[in-house]
Order: sequence, then C-alpha cells, then structure tokens
Amino acid sequence: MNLREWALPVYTILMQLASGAMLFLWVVRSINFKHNSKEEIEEMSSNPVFVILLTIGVAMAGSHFHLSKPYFSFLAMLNVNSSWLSREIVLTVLFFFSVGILSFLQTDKSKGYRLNTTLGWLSIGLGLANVYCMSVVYLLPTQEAWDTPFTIISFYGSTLLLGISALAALLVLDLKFVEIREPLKLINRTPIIQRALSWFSVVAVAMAGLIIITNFYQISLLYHGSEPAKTSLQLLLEIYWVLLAMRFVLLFAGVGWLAISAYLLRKERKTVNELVIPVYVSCLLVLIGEILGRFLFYASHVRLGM
Amino acid sequence: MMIIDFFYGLAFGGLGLAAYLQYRQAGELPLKKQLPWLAAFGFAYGTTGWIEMFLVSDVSTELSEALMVLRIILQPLSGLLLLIFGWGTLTQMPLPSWAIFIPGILIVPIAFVITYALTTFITPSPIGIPVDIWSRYLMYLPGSILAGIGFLRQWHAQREHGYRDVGNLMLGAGIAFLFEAFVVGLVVPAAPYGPASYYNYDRSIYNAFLGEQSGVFKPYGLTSWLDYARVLETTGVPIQFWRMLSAISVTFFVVRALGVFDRIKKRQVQALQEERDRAQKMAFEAEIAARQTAENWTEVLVNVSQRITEFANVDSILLYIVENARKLLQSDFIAIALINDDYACLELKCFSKDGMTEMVDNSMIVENPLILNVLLTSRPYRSQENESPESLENVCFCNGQSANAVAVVPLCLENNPIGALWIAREEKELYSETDLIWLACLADQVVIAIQHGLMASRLQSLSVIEERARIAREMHDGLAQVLGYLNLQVQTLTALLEQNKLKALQSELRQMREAIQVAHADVRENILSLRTTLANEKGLASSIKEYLEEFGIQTGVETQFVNGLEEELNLSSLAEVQLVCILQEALTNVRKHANAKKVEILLTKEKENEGDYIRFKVWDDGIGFASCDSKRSFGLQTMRERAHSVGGKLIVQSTPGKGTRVECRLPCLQQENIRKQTIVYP
Repeated sequence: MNLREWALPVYTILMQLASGAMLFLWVVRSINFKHNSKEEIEEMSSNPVFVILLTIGVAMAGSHFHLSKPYFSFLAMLNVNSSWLSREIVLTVLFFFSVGILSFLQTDKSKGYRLNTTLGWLSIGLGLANVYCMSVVYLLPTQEAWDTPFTIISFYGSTLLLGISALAALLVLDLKFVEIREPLKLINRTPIIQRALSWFSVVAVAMAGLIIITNFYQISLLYHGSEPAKTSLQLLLEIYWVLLAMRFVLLFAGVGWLAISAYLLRKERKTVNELVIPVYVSCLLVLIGEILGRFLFYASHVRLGM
Repeated sequence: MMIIDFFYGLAFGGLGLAAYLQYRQAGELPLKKQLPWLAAFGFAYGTTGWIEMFLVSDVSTELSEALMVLRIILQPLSGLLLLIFGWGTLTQMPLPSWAIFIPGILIVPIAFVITYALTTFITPSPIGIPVDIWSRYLMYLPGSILAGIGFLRQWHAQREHGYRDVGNLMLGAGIAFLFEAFVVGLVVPAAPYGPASYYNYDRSIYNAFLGEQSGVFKPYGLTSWLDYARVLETTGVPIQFWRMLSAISVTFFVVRALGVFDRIKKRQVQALQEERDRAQKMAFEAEIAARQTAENWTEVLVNVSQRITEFANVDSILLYIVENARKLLQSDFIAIALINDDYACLELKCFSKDGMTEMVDNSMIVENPLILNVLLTSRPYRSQENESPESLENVCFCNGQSANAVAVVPLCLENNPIGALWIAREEKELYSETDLIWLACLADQVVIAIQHGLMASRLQSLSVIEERARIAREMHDGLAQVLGYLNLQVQTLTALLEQNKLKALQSELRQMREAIQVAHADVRENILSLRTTLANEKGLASSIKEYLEEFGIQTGVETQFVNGLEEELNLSSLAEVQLVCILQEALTNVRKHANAKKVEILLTKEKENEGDYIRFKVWDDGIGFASCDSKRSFGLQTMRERAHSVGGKLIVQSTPGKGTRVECRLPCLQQENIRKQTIVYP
C-alpha cells in the first residue's frame, strides 16, 4: 500500500473509533446519571466529546488524501439517493456537525443536559449508520473477499472494540488531568471510571473474540470460495502471515492487558491513577492490531475477473 | 572512514562510561535515575559505531554476517534505551498539566506510524534497511528530541536558580541532542516509504504516494542537502564526520553537565549551611530575647513577692503589678476589678494605661460580657480573630479607645472568684497562650497580695485586742490592786483614827504612800510604753534613746545607750515592732525585779554569710536570777516568741548577784531586696 491508499484505513479506523467511543461514553453517562449530578456528568463527558470531534475531523481530513481532486470532494455527496459512498460521506459530515454542536453546548455545563443527551444519542445513531454505510460500500460482487456479511459484523466489532479501548484511555488520561488541576473532583469522578473499566474489559474481550471468530469465518469462506478468493487467502497466509499473526497477538495483548488492569483495580491492588500507562498501552496495542487488520483487509482483496 | 567510525563509537562508548561512573559515585544527582539508561545507550550505540567500522574494513563474510545480525539487534535496542533516557530527562521536572493530553493526541499517529513501519518489513529489501530506518525514525529521533527538550528545560530551570554556568552547559547538551536528532534520527538509507523516500543518503527520490521511484531529480532542492554526496561536496567531509562531531559534542556537554551537578550539590550544601547559620543565629537571638523576657518577669514577680512579704500596702502592690504587667505584656490597658462586698457587681479597683497608673476611688462597675464570663467560668480567656467588636466594647475603662485584642484571667481565692485581671491592646495582634500564662501568674500574685492585706488587717485588729488585754491586765495587777489595797487602808485608817491610835495611823499612812508611789511608777511606765511609737520621724534608734532617757528619769536607774549602727537598720516593719516590744519587756523586768543601779543597751549590726543581723543587748547590774525563777519565765518566754516570729533569736544569761544579760538577734532585709523596693521596672 502506498500513502494514498493509507488514507482509507485512516478514515475508516478513526470514524469507527469515534462512533464506538461516542456510544460507550453515552452508555457511561446514562449509567451514572442517578449517582452523579448533571454538572459532574457533563464535566466527565465534555473532554472526551471534544477529542471525538477532533478524531472525526482528522478522519475527514485524512480521507481527502485518497482523492485525486480533494477540492471537489463535496460533489461526492450529490449521489446520496443511489450511492452508499455518498450516504457514508453525508453521514460523516452530519456526525461531525452533531458532535461539534454537542461539544459547543457542553461549554456551559450547567444547562441543557436533556438536549445534550438527546443530541448525543442522535450523533451515535449517525455514527453507527455511517459505519453501516462504510461497510456496505465494500460489499462488492467483484470483490469476493469483501462481499460477505462478515464485513459488516467485523466493522461493527472493530467499532465497539476501538471505541471502548479509546474511551478507557481517554477517561483515565482525563482523570489524571483532573488530578493535577482540580483534585477535589476526583472524589466523584474516580468511582465512575472504576465501575466503567470493569465492564469495559468484559465488552473488549467479547469484541476481540467476535473479531477473531469473524476473521476465521472469512478465512474459511475464502478457502471454500472461487479462484480470486483463494488467491486472497494465499496472499494472506503466504505474504502477510506475519502481519496476520501480529494482528492477533496485538489484539490479545491489548485486550488482555486491559482485562488484567481492570481485574487488579477490582481487587484493589491498583488504583485508577496507576492504570494510566497500562490502559494507554492497551489502547495503543488494540489500535495497531486493528490498523493492521484493516491493512490486511485492503491488501488481501483480489478483484474478480481481472 | 574507519577512523571516523572509531571515534564515533569511542565518543558514545565514552559517554556510556562517563554516565556509568557518575551513576556509581553520584549521591543525589537530579538525573541519577536516568544515568543507567544513558550508560546503556552509550555502550550499545558505541558498539554499533564500531560494528560499522569493522563492516567497512576487510573482514570475513562470516564475521560480516554476524556483525550485521549484531547491528540489527543493537540498533533498535540502543534506540529504545535513548528513548527511555529522553523520556526520563523530559519528565525529570514536572510537566504542565495540559501535557497529559499529548500522549492521547499522539496515540493515533503513533499507532499508524508503527503499523506503517510493520508493513514495510514485508518488502523484499534486506531486513537491515527497515530496521535501520525505523530505529532512527521511531527511537533515535524522538529519543534525541525528548532528551534535547529535557536538557533545555534543565537549562531554563538552572537559569532561574541563578546557576548560569550550569544552565549554559545544559543548553549545549540540549542543542547537541537536537542536532543528533537531525543527523542521526532523520537521515536514513533510501527506501520507497515514508520520509525515507525524500530524505536519504543516496539521492534516491520516490513518489511516496505511488510508491514508485521518481524520475525527477532536483539537484538544488531542499532534500538534496541531506544526502551523502551533497554533504561531502559542500563540507568536504562525509556525513559520518558530522555524526561523529555530534556524538562528541553530546558526550562533551553531557559529561560536563553531569560533572556540574556536583558543583550544584556543593552550592546547595553551602546554601543550606548558610541557612542553618542564619537559623541558629535567629534561634540564639530568640533565646536571648526569651531569657530577657523571663528575667524581666521573674524580677517583677520577685519584687511583688518581696513587697507582699514585707506587708507593704496592698494598693501599692497592685499598682506596681498593673504598671509593670502592662509594659511587659505590651498592652495599652490593664486593670484589676474585684467583686464588691455585697457580691452584687464587679468594681474596678485599679488600672494602668499609658502615663497613668492609679487606684479607682469611685465605684466603676465592669459590665463587659467577656470579663463577666471569665468570672463565671473561672477560666482564662483570650480573644480570637473572629471576636465580635461588640464583645470588646467597654474593655478599656478611662481610656475611650477601642480594644482589638483582650486577655482575661480570674482572681480566685480558695477556688472562689473574687475578681478579674485583664489586659487589652488596640492593635490587632492577638495575645498568645504564653501571655495568658504570665497573666495568670500575676493574678496569683494579686490574690496573694490581697490575702496578705486581709491578714495584716486582721493581725492589726488582734494586736489592738492583745494590747487592750495587756493594759487591762496591768491595771488589774497594778492599779486595781493598789486601789483595793488603799480602800482597805482607808478603812483601817478610819478605825485607827476612831480609836485615836496615832502611831499606828502614821505607820499605815507610810505604807499607803509607798504603795501609791509604786502604782504611780507603773502607770508612768505604761504611759511611756503606749507613747513610744516606731513611726516617728527620728527613726528607731532615736526612739529607743528617748525611751531609755525617760525610763532613767522615772526609775532612777542609770541608763546608757550605745548606738553602734553606722547605717539604716533595714529591719522589716514587723521586726521593728518586735524589737521595741522585747526592749520594753526587758526594761520592765529591770525595773520590777532586778533592783539594778545601771542598765546598758547596745545596738549593733553584724554581717554574716547568710545576711546582715541587728544585735541588741540589754545588760543590768541587778540581783540576777536563777534559771528556774518562775516570776520571770513567762515574760522571757514571750520575748523569745517575739524574736522567733521574725526569724530572730533571743538569749538570756543571768547569775544571782551578778546581773542579767538579754541578747537579741534579728535578721535584716537583703540588700538586693531593699534595692528592688526602690526600683520600678521601666
């Protein structure tokens, strides 16, 4: 893959990460609604929302490197009635603006809690719809390696896994920031993150399992598929096998590290503050694993009829 | 080339050795925790340099392959060590709070770059090339930049601490690391990926987007300055030379900077020593001041005790206390108030303010709630910062100024409150717990003074009663007996006159005259005793002399008074009273029992180790008496008791036919105490 082709993994990975992180952030928000005040909930979610907005922005900017004429990228939205790609682009823009407005509204943390909550769920809907459009784009009859429902499943699996890993890292980094700037706020913030990390790790392990199973099913489909599918499988197992193995190792390591950290936290052998580096490294490993997976996704396809 | 590679490796090896030695000997260097990483990096990267040296020389193929493998291992390893050192150096001082988000922001680019790097390993090029490239990009470059920024932060910090010379070395080390980042971390072998497509040794230009070699070559473009040939052509030396120079400069500055930490430590030790000396001096001065304060307080308390012991006037003691306490406690106002006789209210007794210390004659009732509360609870109190202004009103009587700090202690007699002592100041400086303790000590002295005053008054009343009893006894024993006798004699005379027995009548009349003469002498002596007071202006010695002369006239006994005093008697008031009483009793004994022709009195002062004494002797040439003579024993016993009551001693020596000698010794006041009585603390 040359640099132009790298624009696609950048876009898809970052959009999935943003959608997943937004989803889980709003779940955390809903769970803690009864335990904490509205201001505390807004305080906890405002920095992550802003980072998610930046991520979407970077994804959108990165996607332009894939285009020959980036200045006319807006024209791609014109075929929204007929093209999944146009719908993907429209939903990306809408997702960006909805999260942008949400981030702006969160500057005043004492007002508009209900509006923010509603807008957040709307953004999540847009983000998840965008992931669906993104995956459907690849369901091409000419690309047998991609044209399976497992593409949609693996895209959503990546969305959830990336989202939860990134959100875990974001929350602990934000907590560290709060510790330095306003240590008194730790009293209410720490229990939220302690509770969240426990089920984050469970969801992350489940998603990693789902992704691995999906990958093996895809390999099985390729094995039993036509000639181009077998060629794809050959590429995967002969040229890219090191990267494939590395992807699984990184995924296991990242998720495992997060699970162990959450376990140690639950057993009170570690504090949330001591988990900054483990959670960060876990997120980095999962991210590298998923980017590698996306690289293999693009690199191993063989066009039918060539 | 071999020489350059040798020195390149030597420079980094030297850096490793210097860091290791510093780590071994250094105590608490700021960078001590990072030194093992720097040492390990220096050794590993120095070895890489020497491997390059061997690779360019004629070595066997087997050795060359082994060295290549070793280089592939050592390059990322040394890069990792440099990265750890760089991170440690950067975070040696606390980072700003926003820096916590930098890893969060960089996580996505880092993940993509690492993934991108991983994918390049599956290209057909030899593995040594991506290892070399990505070791430099991912480790040397960020490691050197972090170390460079870390040293620049140290430069800034040292400048702020005033260590400019140290700061300059840090600046040098920082710049050297940043230069190292450029020449070692950025210039890599040519490869069709990433920045290596443009910035490489070999002038090979790739289109990184398409992954193809570009046909366009720009000989004067920016990128062309970074290849081997251009550097050689422009500077005359290959890029390895500049790398070596960079390595030597890094080693030089880092080694010098590490050495300078010792100097910093010495300076810090010196600064600490100076600080300690200053603290010691301040502590010494504080100790002297505290001692001086304690001495002043002790002096005042001793003076008060002395005055109390001497039965000085209670009012004068109270005035002395308030005046000195106000000065010692640096107050604007101090007062004593006592509960009145009806136990109805608290009345101001005396006060002291600037330039005025006096007793209060008119009834002034104290109604301040703080003072009354102290009286009720019998617990000392000092005002706090949050004291309401209303509660501090009417604290300073006769002053009109408002108080901002007040301390009150109760005056308790046998656990019952009898009044209060309080101080106040206009400044907002609150009274300390120590002030309250000193004030409580003074309150005790005030109570003792009042107690002694009451006791003295009671004693005076008892003395009057005793004196009346004595006069009554004298009249009963003397005048009343004589008058009774005369009554009987008059009846006898009447009967003799009726019987016309003139001879017997004359005899009885003669006896009556003698009895009247004795009674007259007794009455005169009593009158003389009652007239003799100590408070006359002439002093005790003159009073004794006058009394003795009068005694001689009345009794016909020759008297002689020898005054051996060259200075004041310096006896306490009570001792003076006892001295006169003992003298009177002795002379009465002479008149009544001694049948003496002459009596001598000697008054002298003697100095002994324990202090001065007044000694007086009463000697007569009378008939004397045996020690068992009961007639005199009661009077002598009284004289002894009087002497003992003021710490003195009485000796009586008498032999029948050889007169009697009464010797009394009474202690004088200490000179120091006499001086203190006259000095009021300024």
